Amino acid sequence: MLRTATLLTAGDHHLAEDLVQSTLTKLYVAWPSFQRADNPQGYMRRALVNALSDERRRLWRRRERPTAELPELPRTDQHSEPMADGLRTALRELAPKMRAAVVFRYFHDLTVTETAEVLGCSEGTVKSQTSRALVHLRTALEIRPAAPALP
Amino acid sequence: MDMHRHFDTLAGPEVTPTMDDINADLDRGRRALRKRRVMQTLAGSAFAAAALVAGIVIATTNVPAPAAPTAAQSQGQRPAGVGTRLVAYTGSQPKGYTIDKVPDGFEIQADNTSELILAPKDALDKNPQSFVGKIGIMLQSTDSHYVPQGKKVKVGDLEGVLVPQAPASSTAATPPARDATPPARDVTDPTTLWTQTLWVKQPNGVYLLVQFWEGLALSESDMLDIGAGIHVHKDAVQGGG
Repeated sequence: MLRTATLLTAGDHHLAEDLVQSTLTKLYVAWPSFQRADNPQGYMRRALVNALSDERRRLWRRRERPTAELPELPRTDQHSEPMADGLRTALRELAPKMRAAVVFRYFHDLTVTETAEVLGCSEGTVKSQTSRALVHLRTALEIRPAAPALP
Repeated sequence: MDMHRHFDTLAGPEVTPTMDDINADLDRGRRALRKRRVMQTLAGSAFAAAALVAGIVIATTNVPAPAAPTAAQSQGQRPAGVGTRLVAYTGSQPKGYTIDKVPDGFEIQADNTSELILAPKDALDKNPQSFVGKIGIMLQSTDSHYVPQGKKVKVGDLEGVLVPQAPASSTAATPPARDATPPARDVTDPTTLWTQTLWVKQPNGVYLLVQFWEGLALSESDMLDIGAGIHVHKDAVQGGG
């Protein structure tokens, strides 16, 4: 779940942890519904996507405030592959729903139908979103190839 | 481009949560659940309070109307709801009961085998199924095993319990629920605009129920006097349901 959240937040590990926490809390509160769900895994994924949307709305309402100290930056894995940095940046440029579509399709290997169910949209939307996301990711990775490792 | 592999790398390694993590998650869940329940309770209370206010508004603007007929006022009688006093009942006695006292200006409006209704004379509401602004008298239903919970009182020589019931506006103008459990509430103000039912235990163990509709402005003493003046005879019939 944390790995999915990490992808949904485009590698923002702190935000991913927050999402997982809030999702688990929501699942706990709605435990009877979760137990009754035909597809608990899908229910959990949908809750995660909803938490991401909620978090994004919350962030939109925040105002920038000057502070004396620099805020803590999202943690990135210092030892990640160079390609991952490019992918992280490209993912960050995608709309959250589009990011979620491509993550569920190509990381979790869900079908179009399953992805549509998780995202609460039509299969056509999933196809178009996934297609556009893939084009963007490929383009971004080609334009911004990973920096070669220093000798 | 192997997207799955790239995603797998970006997602990071699988991390098994510690027991501390799990306990912290459970604590958060429990706190959220408690908070939700408190909020639901508060919301329910707010709704109940709003319903009570609405009930009072309706009761004070519409309901007592039948209790204040112009004819009654022309006879120098005080309309019900404005300090009703009790008088001896002088009309014909109903089947199954003997009535000693009634609020001034009241008469027996309906008298059937299982229930008796006292209502203001010339009341506009002649519906014997309606208890709005009236006093309903009956025996406990044969199907009811409810043990009244409320203020224990002495009704003449008999034991009684005074039980408040939900405001009329939220229960509809129907006969008293002989088998329902009214919401628990302390009766601290006998003139409160809540319908109140006096349960009087008869020597045979069956309760006599006297329901006083909200807004009649009867004191607790008045209600007990009316209850003490109702005598149940052998031919009084218990209803069902």
